[in-house]
Amino acid sequence: MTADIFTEDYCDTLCELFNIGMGRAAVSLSEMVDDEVLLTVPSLKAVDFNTALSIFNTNSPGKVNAVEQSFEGQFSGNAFLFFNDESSLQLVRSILGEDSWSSELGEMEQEALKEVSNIILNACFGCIADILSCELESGVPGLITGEINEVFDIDRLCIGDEPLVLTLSMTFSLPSKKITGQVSLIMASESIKRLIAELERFTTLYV
Amino acid sequence: MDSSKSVLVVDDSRLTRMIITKLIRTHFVDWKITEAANAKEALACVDKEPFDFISLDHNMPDRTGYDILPLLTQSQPMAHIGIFTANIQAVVRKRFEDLGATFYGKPINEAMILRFTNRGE
Amino acid sequence: MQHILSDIVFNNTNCGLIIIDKMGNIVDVNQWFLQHCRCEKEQLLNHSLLDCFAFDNERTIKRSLDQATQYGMSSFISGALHPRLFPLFTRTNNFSEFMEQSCYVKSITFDNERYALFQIQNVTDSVNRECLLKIKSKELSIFSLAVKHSPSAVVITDALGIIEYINPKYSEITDYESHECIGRPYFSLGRHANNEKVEVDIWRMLEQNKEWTGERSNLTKSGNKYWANEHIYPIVDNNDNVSHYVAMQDDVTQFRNISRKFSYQAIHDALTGLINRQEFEVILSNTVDGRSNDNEVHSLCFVDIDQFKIINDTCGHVAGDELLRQISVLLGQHCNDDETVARLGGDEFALLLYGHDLSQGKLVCEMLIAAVESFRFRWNENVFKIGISIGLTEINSQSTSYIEVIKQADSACYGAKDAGRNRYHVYQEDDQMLAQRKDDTYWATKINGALELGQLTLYAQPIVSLQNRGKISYEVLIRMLDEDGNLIPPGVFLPAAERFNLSHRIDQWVIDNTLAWMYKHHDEISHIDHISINLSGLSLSNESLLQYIIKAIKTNKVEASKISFEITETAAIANLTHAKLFISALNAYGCKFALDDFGSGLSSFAYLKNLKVDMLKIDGMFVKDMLNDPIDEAMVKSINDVGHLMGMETIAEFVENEAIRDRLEEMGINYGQGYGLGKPVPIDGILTATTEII
Repeated sequence: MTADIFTEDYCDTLCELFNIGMGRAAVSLSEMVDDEVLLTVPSLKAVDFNTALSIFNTNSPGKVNAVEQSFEGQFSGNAFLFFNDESSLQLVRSILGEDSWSSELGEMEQEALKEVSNIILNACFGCIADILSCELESGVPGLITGEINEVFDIDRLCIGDEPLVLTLSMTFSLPSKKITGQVSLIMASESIKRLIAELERFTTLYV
Repeated sequence: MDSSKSVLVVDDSRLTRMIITKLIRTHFVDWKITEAANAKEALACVDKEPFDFISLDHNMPDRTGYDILPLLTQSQPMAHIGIFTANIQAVVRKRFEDLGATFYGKPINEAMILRFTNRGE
Repeated sequence: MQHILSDIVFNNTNCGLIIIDKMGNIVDVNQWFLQHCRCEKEQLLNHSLLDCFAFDNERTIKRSLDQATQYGMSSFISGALHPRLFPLFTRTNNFSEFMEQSCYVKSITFDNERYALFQIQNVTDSVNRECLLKIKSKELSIFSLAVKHSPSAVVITDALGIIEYINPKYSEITDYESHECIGRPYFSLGRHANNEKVEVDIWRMLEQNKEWTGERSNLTKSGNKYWANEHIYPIVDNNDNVSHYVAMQDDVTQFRNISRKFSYQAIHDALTGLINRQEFEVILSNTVDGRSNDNEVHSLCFVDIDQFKIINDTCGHVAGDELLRQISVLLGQHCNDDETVARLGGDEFALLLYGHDLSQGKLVCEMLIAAVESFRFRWNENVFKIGISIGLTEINSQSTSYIEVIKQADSACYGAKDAGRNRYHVYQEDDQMLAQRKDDTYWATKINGALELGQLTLYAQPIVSLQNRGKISYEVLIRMLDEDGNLIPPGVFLPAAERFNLSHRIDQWVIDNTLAWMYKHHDEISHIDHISINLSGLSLSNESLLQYIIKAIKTNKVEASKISFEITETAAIANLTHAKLFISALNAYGCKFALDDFGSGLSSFAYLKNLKVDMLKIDGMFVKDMLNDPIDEAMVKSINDVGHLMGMETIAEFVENEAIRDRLEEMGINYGQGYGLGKPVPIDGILTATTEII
């Protein structure tokens, strides 16, 4: 199965669902940073695994901090929200306060990052589940730090032979800082089909 | 409510435009519905004809809804403008309401559309 | 069985477990949780979670509960953002230390119902470690930054002297980058030949666990030498073993250069590069005082450029400076290592001829004069011949101090000038008396100016006949007007004129103007016996002036007999031969001569025999007090007697009052001059005035 199966219309629909989810996450996030969260229009792409890796490497070269959550229900897969070093630092500093001497994430910073990412992902998934009226469960979040290739290790993920990657690039910023995070869903081909089926079902209501 | 009204739906998401259109048409079959996928198109539309209702998104690729709201109000003083955006932070809501628009937020449901078309009744 | 096992597991975990249903009520809570909080199971079971515990952020808990029970989503509540979520303590028996917690909320399904499983972990140790790490990290950062931004170069080596770290300042000084230094021995960087010995010394000190401080030179990466104030000290661990060395360097190259520059500037003259006066005096002082034995002699020369002022005035300061430079080069060229040349200031130079006696000194002077003789100063299109006047004196066992020696050389130099310039003059005792020029420089300038600008004017004072009612005579006096029109008496500027060889110019001016005046008023001066003009000593020896006077008399058609000249006794004696010639020449024309200030010198009357003067002017010194001082009176009397004896008439000066006048008349003095008889008036005033003959 190639990425072509995911047409522009599906992209648009899913993207809008994430957008709404992100809107909800922004409310929680703004409480945490005590500031307005500025959202940009996300863009969604459906690509094969290797293409996804090269996109990730282009957008976030070097080390990234990734929070991973598995999800299952009507469709399943692994969701990732990852930030590069700079964005990670900016994000945790906004949440924990400016008194940060080190240029690395200590344990406390990692915890904070994990929680924030979890809030964002849960908000997105909750929204999708709501709107699509699907059952969607997620596991506890885990934090992985490393190069893109280490984080997105196909063997570790056990997704099957040809997983599809839906990449959603989201930039949210605070009036003073720019933080770019990438959301990506890695799903096995079976799952993708089911997702498409759900999207179809949903859109039919409004045709 | 008897006469046919015209609505302008401004949103970059095809899905959202579909949803709004569908929901309106379900209740108001003869209403004229125009779609605009971005700010530029929206501004072009309001220059051509009058609208009774305008649904407006905020996060759009070229300009934000907040940015063009004053222009829409100026061009279409009689239109009732509703904000349907995913950005539901309190500060954002207040900002829009200060400019005289009604804020609905997303996800959009039937109740919202009814309120919108009944002008808050 | 399995049910029971999981119960056992539930209550034997090393973390807290709470199960909440979708209503928000606590369904179960495990032992670990109960043991670590001050609660009993009964207190919690079936109660609302939110009622049992006071949460800082209820919204978070609600959200987690909703997500787990309604959607099946799991969440994470971090200790970072929600510290001490539940009231738990680290010890089960005592409740002193709060537990830092980290909480996972997992969605579980049982019997078709969803529940939220709260899993609470104790992360206190972790958090404490983290805090400490942060503190240490911050401290370290601060210290690192301090070293990094230190204005001193800092190098840290291991116990063997191998570099582990260099700070940016070190790179700045030496141009070595970090990667070029790390792993290399500290002393290997920028080492040059002289360092080896010092390095051995340094290691010796360090091996004794001592610190080393010193100034040392090194080479930068490009091979340039720099000087550094260096401080190396060891860092010891808990067992007193050296673990590292810290070397700090402060670049003092610039400081040394500036010091040297200051030192150089302090002792050298900026214009010529020669040693300056201050330094020369130090050298001279050391030489004079440091003489080891009586046989040690040295020579000191003071050199003056003869025409310096003229060149400076004619061609400008730039030319003057250039002349000074060229002369200093010339002087330097003709001197050896044992001869110190200095510029004292203005156009004055000094030479200290070490180990030269007077005869050797003379040779040097002659050589220098010859060298300057053949030197030409070229400026624009002009070529000037330059001369130098040198004063030479010997530093020997008689020399008491350098000040005295300086005075001698100075006087000798003046003597050389006085004798006509472009020569050298060896110091003699009485040179001192002539060397008073310093104060008169001002006047010399003024006189020059006055002569050029016509600020001189003629006055005349009556010489009254005391014995018979003879005609009145006048002495012509010169007065100078300053820029405000104030009169300046001759007693102030004439001595200066003497010393600066301007007397003859003044004399010339007086003669010109007096004779011209006499010619102009020749039909109004019949009542005057003669007009007396002063001549300076220098004028006497001036051949051309003599001719000039003769010519002037002829040209102005003035009656020679109506002119008399006054010369001081001192001047006459000093230039005896010339004086005699002068007198006889003008006598022949009918001019009269008077010896002025007679009696004040120490010459014997014997000279008078040789000088055929017509009148003797008795020094006013004697006349002034003669009524009170019998010796003075005796002097006046004897001069009068001798004078008469030799066929001369006598004139008394400083006749201040009537009483003196009467006495003089009694004694037979022929004439009197003084304020009591008549004050000097502008020369025009003597024409019409018919002085009352008292």
